[in-house]
This record gives sequence, structure tokens and C-alpha cells, in this order.
Amino acid sequence: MIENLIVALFTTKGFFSLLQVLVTVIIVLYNFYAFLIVRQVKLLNAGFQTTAARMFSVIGYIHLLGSLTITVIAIILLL
Amino acid sequence: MFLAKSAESGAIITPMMRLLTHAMIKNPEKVCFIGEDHDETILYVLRRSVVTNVGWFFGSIGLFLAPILIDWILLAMAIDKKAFVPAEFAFVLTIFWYIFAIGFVFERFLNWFFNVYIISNKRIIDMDFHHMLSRDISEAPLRNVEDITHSVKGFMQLVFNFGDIMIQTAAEQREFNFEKVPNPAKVQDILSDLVSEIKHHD
Repeated sequence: MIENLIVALFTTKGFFSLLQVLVTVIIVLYNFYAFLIVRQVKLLNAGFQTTAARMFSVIGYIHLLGSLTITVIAIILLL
Repeated sequence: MFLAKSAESGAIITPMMRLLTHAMIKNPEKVCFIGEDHDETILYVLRRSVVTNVGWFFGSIGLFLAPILIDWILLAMAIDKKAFVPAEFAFVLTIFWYIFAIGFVFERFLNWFFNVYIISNKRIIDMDFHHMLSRDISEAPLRNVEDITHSVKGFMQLVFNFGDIMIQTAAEQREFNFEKVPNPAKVQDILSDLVSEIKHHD
């Protein structure tokens, strides 16, 4: 069975199946980075307060939302 | 006075745009920092020169253009992408690539924006934001500043007039280094004048 799996990986379809799983895992992990950016923006805005603080927060949340959306899309389409 | 005319370009810039695009801001409006006293005024906010952003700026242009370039190359080589890359996979990968590119640009910009050196009427503050997980804030009263030197090294710094300012202090943090700030000679002069004034009053 493992042999069949290894052989399947060397086909175009098998290779892309593995790649799809890997990309989905990377996208899921990316959410942590996006969340970290949101947290860091909050801390940085607290340390150095400017009129741009709200804009940075909004961009951080939009980025996190985009990341979460693509995660859902990736799970639906690729897995 | 929300709109001000830039002396150099004649363009109308708001304090917000000035804050987002300038590396040396005199008397910034609506800006404060953690631990600021009520009777304290921020005189200057300094950052690394805008020129230092050129590397990541062009890198991010490359990131944004990469999917288009790959498509263009495949098209030029008459390779049908759809024949071997599943459409859903290409779609997800492209969208994720652009989200990653936006994240990269945002993180790099934050890194530049929040790495600030503040000169107030009482002290100097060095806020270092190394990466997403590390931040240092050090400060020294102006009266403790003992020696200020500046250095301009290399072709880029000479052409675009930016460099480092080393400040020796008698405070807990012995040495401050304002890295790659614009017009270092002028900043040194401003700091020297402030320190002299403070010491004269004492």
C-alpha cells in the first residue's frame, strides 16, 4: 500500500494532490502570522500613538480576514 | 491647519501623509508615546531614511508581479497551464500569494514606521522594533547627553544624505544609535543646541 502511494506521488495527479495538502497546511499556518500582525499592531499603536493607528488596525484585520477566507476556500476546494 | 503646502514640491500634504511618508518630522501633530509627561512636547520624530526602503519596495513589486510574469512566460513558451495545474489549485495559490504579498508589505512598512527616534523637550527615546516578536524602548534625559557624533558612510548615504548618530549618555543606557536618519549633521546640531539649552538652564 505504501509502495502504491509512493508510486502515485510520481504521477502529475499525485504530485499535485500532495502539493495541495502542503499549500493548505501553509495557508492554515499563515493565519497565525496574520493574527500576530494584528496583535503587534495593537502593541505598537499603544507604544507610539499616531493618527494612523486606526488605519493600521483596519489593514491588520482586513489581512487577517483575507487569510481566514482563503483558508476556508482552500479547505473547501483543495481537500 | 490640516493642510500644508510642501515647500519643495508645492503639493498639498496632510499631517497624516507627512507622518506616513517622512523620515524627519518636526513638531508632529497628534502624536504621543508611551510614558509621555503632560508637560512634555515632541520636537522631532526621526526614522530611517525613506531611501532605506528601496530594497523591500522593489522586492514587493516583484512579489506582486510574479504570478503575472509566470503566466506570461508560460504563454510565451506555449505551455497550457490548465493541462497540468488544477484550476482550483491555481486559484487558491494566486489569491494566497497576493495575501502573503500584502502581509509582507504591511510588515515591512510597520517595521519602518514604528522604528522611531523621538526627540522631546526633555529626553531622547529610541524605539526599536526588530521584527514581529521583539521590541526595545530606551530613553535618556537630554541633560544626561554627553557626546554626539554623526557618521555618513558609503555611496548611498553620501548621495542621499543620511547616516548614523551616536549619542553617549550618562544614563542607564550608555549609548544611543540613531541609525540611517536623514540629514544627520542637522540632527546633531539640533540635539547639541537642545542639550546646551537644557544644561544652561540647570
